[in-house]
Amino acid sequence: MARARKKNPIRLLVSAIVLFEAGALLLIAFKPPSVNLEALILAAALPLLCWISTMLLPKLFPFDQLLMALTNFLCGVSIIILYSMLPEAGLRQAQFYALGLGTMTVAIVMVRLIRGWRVLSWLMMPAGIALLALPVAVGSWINGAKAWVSLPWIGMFQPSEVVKLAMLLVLSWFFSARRSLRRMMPAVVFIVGCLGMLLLQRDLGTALMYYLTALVLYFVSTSNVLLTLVGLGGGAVAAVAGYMMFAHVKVRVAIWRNPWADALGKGYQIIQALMAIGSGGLFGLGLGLGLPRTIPAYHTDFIFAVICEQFGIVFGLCVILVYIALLVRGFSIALRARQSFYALLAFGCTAMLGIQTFVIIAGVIKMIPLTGITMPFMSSGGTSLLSCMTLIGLLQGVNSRIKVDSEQDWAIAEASEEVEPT
Amino acid sequence: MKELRRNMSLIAAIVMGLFIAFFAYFSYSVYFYGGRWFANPYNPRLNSQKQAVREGSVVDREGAVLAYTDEEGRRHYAEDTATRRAVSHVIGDSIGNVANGVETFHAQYLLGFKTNIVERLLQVFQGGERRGDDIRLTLNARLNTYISNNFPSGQSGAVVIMNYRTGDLYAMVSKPDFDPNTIEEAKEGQDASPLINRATQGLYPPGSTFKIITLAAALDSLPDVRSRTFFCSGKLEVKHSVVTEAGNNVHGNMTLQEAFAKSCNVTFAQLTRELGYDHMSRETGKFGLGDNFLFRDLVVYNSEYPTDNRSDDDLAWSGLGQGRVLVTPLHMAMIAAAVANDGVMMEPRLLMRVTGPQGQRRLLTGAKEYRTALTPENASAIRADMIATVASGTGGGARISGYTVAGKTGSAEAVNDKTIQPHAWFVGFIDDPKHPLAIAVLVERSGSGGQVAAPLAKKFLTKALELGL
Repeated sequence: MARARKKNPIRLLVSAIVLFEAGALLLIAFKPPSVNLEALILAAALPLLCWISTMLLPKLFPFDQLLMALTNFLCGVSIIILYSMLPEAGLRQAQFYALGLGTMTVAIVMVRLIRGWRVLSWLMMPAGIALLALPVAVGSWINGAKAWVSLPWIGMFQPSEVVKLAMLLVLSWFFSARRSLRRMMPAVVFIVGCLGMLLLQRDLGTALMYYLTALVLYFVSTSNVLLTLVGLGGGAVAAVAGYMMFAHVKVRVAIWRNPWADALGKGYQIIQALMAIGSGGLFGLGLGLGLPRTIPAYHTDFIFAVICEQFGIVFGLCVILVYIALLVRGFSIALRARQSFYALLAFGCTAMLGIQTFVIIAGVIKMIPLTGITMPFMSSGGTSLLSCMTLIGLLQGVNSRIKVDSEQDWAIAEASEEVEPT
Repeated sequence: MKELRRNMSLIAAIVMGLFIAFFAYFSYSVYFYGGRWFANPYNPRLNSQKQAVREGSVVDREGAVLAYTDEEGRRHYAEDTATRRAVSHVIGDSIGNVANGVETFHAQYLLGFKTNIVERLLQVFQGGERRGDDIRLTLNARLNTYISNNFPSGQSGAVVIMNYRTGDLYAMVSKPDFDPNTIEEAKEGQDASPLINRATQGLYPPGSTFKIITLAAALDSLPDVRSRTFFCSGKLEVKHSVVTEAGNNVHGNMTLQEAFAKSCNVTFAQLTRELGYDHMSRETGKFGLGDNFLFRDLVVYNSEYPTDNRSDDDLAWSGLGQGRVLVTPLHMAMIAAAVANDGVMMEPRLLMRVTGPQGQRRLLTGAKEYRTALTPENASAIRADMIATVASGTGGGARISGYTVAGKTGSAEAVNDKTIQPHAWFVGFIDDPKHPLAIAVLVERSGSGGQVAAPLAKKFLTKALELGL
């Protein structure tokens, strides 16, 4: 009895997630007319990955299990939803999820092992700019942006998702050395270069993410309210200029103000999303039911609307609560970090995830104008999922460093105590 | 490090704040608009659900069938052509040619989206087909048919009769109408736009019926207004325009009640100028102008009292319900109903009962107050003025022997052209707790309210009394 009571609450949470994933996928697998073997395999593989990553990785190094469990839940929901609508996308997402767990582990190990990020930061800057320049040079226009490159073997690849990580590392490194603007200059030049490339790609949503994250990191590390406000003001001016210059920004704003004015034309997308949310009601129409495919971009930007249609608004709000819990976890890691570089890194990762999630879901429910960016962990898309999993890896890396550092502190303290009495 | 942690906490709090705002906004918009997002003709789920579910039927308050689906899945409407046409706008059609009829706006019931899991299982075990919920409306089909048959032929307009104590809509007729069985023909002849429900979507200048609100504003803000004597010389010069009387009358000296009963434009234009935009917009707001109507049972277009162009001329004319003031006939009926109901405006109700396939009742909120428009004292004062209007003023045509009828007429000019007849309005009610009926009659471009609309109101109210409402 006593043993059962002492059960780790994480174990309970992971069991619930595993049951949810297996149950949902079995439901899809045994849906008439025939048994779907693929879904059966997924129904075994997905819970297994969830269990291994949450319960076994802590045996290797200090690890935040709750953060991992929440991440697993979000990825699981995404794979289930995608598989029910579009099996190939679901399978692809599952493969990238497995791969993402790998890159996450690599990121943890890197943060634990690498002490000097100086050389790496200097190397990452030109590499990042070059990567961002790639789609401008050889990319093709998709949905009004030139953000993707088609690579042999890998398929479509979005450099800005990878450079995101480099940007966080570079900014954290240079801003942690801090104090003088002169010493931060290389990072500022780098971020301006990134923004320039993103504007050339016409990927305004991603540019917005980069800009806000950089600004937040700058403020946090320097406490310079004045320059931060100037930066915000500059952003606002740029937004207005974008509104004036780009016709599609104007259209976005007009749709946001009244999508019903052109319900079958420009407002079609957002109206389909709102209708999907309204149709789901509190508890949803049920997995695989409803007509989620009528929403354009249902598997990427608008996946939140699909979740609300199938699982209901209550579930949708729960998903948002999971994001909030994940952010709280990330911020708490940042606050516990011993060195400013690690604090800034953890904080940057969390802030970026938070801003990105908010910007897309608030756009889907017409709270703010829609910006075409992906929903972290949820949207179908390999690069996006990989980069989000790697972000979690960076967070976990910082977390495990904190543990190592504090254990060392303890050891030193204990050693000195032992010495003192003599 | 300490400063860094403080800054990080601050930004973290801001990000959390964003998510709290998201929660609030999402809950708010789903609560108020979720039903509207779902129930619109662009929603492809409605049509796809029809393949799987037999749509429920719609009956009037006495049980007369207005719409049902037969075993083969074909939708039928009332058998009698006159009835079918009389309720055509309220019922609407399931393809969404008519915006926000019961067939689309309440599709969540009719198509069984409200069926819960237990009921679904019951249906599966009973082996029957899936069925949607049946709806009983507050309408009285016989009254609607009578109104439709007795509306001046060839004219456009709308009639609303409602219970001012509960908000139940007994009749809502819009002209011209159409036959749902031949809706394609109605779609092609675009001229008189028969598919528009003029009672809920027609925005008209209210004309002198608006003086009810001007009077309420005066009673609210000018304490001595009852004891004043007003003088009408037949015209009042404002900056760029001249307010005149209907038929070039000169009313001379009068009390406020006489001015209201005679519908004296000069007096009310003067009062409006004295009140100013601030008092006027506060009062119109109390009556729901400029409000976003989000009624649960039906969609009503929002009425307007614009104050952005604050010119003296606009102000003077606005008190007479002219210029840029716009209301729907249903809203005018609600305004009259508020006066009758001691100042409390009830939310209009169209659904009387919704029943699931196994006979279980769906939960509907009952009669609900929409807003308080008047204090009880002001309501009874205006009630007396409206009774006087029918007893000895412009509303004489609406008198019904044996009942106390209260009302206000209006002749609203929609265009600046004297050769075109004004819209004829009558709004009013029967002052009798056993027959709490409020009415709004509008006949487009047909003449003065006293001559055209008031006698119609008398006819329709008499019929409603006959039917025991």
